[in-house]
Amino acid sequence: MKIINLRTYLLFLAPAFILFLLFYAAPIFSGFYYGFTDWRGFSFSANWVGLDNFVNVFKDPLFTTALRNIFILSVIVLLVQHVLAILFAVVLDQKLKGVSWMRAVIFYPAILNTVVIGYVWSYMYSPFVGFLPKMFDRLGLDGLAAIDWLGRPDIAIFSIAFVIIWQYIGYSMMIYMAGLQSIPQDIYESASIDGAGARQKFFRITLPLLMPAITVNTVLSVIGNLKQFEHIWVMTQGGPANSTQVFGSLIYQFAFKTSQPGYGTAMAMVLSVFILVVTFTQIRLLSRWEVKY
Amino acid sequence: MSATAMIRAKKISSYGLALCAMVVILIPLFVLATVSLQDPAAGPNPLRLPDSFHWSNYSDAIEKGRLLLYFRNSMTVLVLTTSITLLASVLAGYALRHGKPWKGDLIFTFFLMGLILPGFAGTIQSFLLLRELSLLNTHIGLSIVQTSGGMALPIFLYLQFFKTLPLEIEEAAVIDGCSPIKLFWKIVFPLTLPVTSTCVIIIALNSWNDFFSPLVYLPSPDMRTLPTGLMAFRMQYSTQWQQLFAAAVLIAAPFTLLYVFIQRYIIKGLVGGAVKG
Repeated sequence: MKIINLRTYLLFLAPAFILFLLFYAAPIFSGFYYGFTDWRGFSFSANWVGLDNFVNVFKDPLFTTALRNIFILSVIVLLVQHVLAILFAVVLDQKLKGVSWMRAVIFYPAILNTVVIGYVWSYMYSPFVGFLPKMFDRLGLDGLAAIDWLGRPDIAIFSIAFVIIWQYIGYSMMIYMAGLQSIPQDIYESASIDGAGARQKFFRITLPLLMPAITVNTVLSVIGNLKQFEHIWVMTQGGPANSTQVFGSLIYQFAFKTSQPGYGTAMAMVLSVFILVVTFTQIRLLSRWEVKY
Repeated sequence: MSATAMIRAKKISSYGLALCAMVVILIPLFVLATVSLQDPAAGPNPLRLPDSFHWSNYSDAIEKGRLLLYFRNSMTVLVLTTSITLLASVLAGYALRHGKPWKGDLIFTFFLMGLILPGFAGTIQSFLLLRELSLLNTHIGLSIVQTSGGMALPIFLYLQFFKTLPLEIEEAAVIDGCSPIKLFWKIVFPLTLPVTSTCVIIIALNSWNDFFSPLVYLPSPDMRTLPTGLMAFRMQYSTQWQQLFAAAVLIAAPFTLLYVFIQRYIIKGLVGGAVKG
């Protein structure tokens, strides 16, 4: 039986479809045209210049830096945040006293505003007056106390990676915990009867059955890191000496600071294709590891 | 080692690990709170509690940082974005549920791009479009942009929910002569309350914390929302940590208070959205 007719169907779909088409899809997809032009961005008019922008993008040392930085962010977050989050999820899934409060505290930074986080961590890292230099000074670790964590081009990106992990580790943990709770308990019981130890249970049962959660969680996190803009912009704006530039900050600068939107758009298109390829590959690879039970 | 001793060792190491995690999470927040109350005339000291509480940092921050104005702007955008997004996505989710399956999937894939592609890839084009429509520098314009990029997840959650809803309820109503629109508002929509509350949490939090779109689409200082307003405040008073931190505490306060009272629902909403997505 038909519940709604075609007219109602279209009427209901229209608001979302039009909003999405007009303000999300069309702007992004028109980028595939503007990337091939000398567009200045003050109006919709532009002249075709062929592949010039794309050639320049791939020759640009900033492009290489951005690629390196999103690679660093993605890999560190994958290794540190997700490995630790699985560990925390397993530990905090037990019946411990006050465990729901511990989870809530570890999750809390995920709901904080990036500007607030940027403030706090800029201060934690800041030379002389900040928490880390003062604490290392108090502990007598002069070498560490003298480090300018966000000011040194060789370590700034790692300092930012740490902040991202600090903010989202609880979020990942809760997703893994939801995954853990979907594993049927009788599998563990029969494994115990068969004489499996804790380590065997973790690597032979927990981890394989957690794979769907690992796929969702790591895919979301890699997409987020490839699109990174806010943490970078609030803490370093791509500096010092462009060492923390990511695609987000570069595209923003090319569009609004140096008014080279055609070039910025070409870069955005390269990033979009890159994200689609990485996401697709990651889902294919990870879903191969998923087991059914 | 005996079995009880092993269980005990495991418990102790679990508590130890949880404690370490909590300390690392809490230290920056603790520093934020203490420094915001320290004497603005002296240098900030993260390792010491304030001798006396300088609440004036807060009133100064509100005044100098124009926080009341930004709060009102943020609130306006939050209410607009949440209502537009909810309405558009619940209607679309319902339509997709009852449309032809392959068409529904195709259209849904289209919306899904909103989760994957970087929104900033179309920034300048949207900027020009808003300018053409005289929506640049308006809160409604910002809300429309936030809605367009934030609908994918709510539509998906609604679609999943409607699939679990038994058709008999709706069929009975149609047989009784109920019009589609009345059926939707009187019978279907009230049943969506659990999904709707999840969606409200996700949409409202994203809107409140959004930094990029207000930075781009609200160039006028009077229109700024809290995140961009705070960023501007920091650019201006970059060495005044005490007042900056007071402002930061204030922007974090509304959702923190909510979180303290209904954290279980907030976590469930945010995590549930990601897991099902």
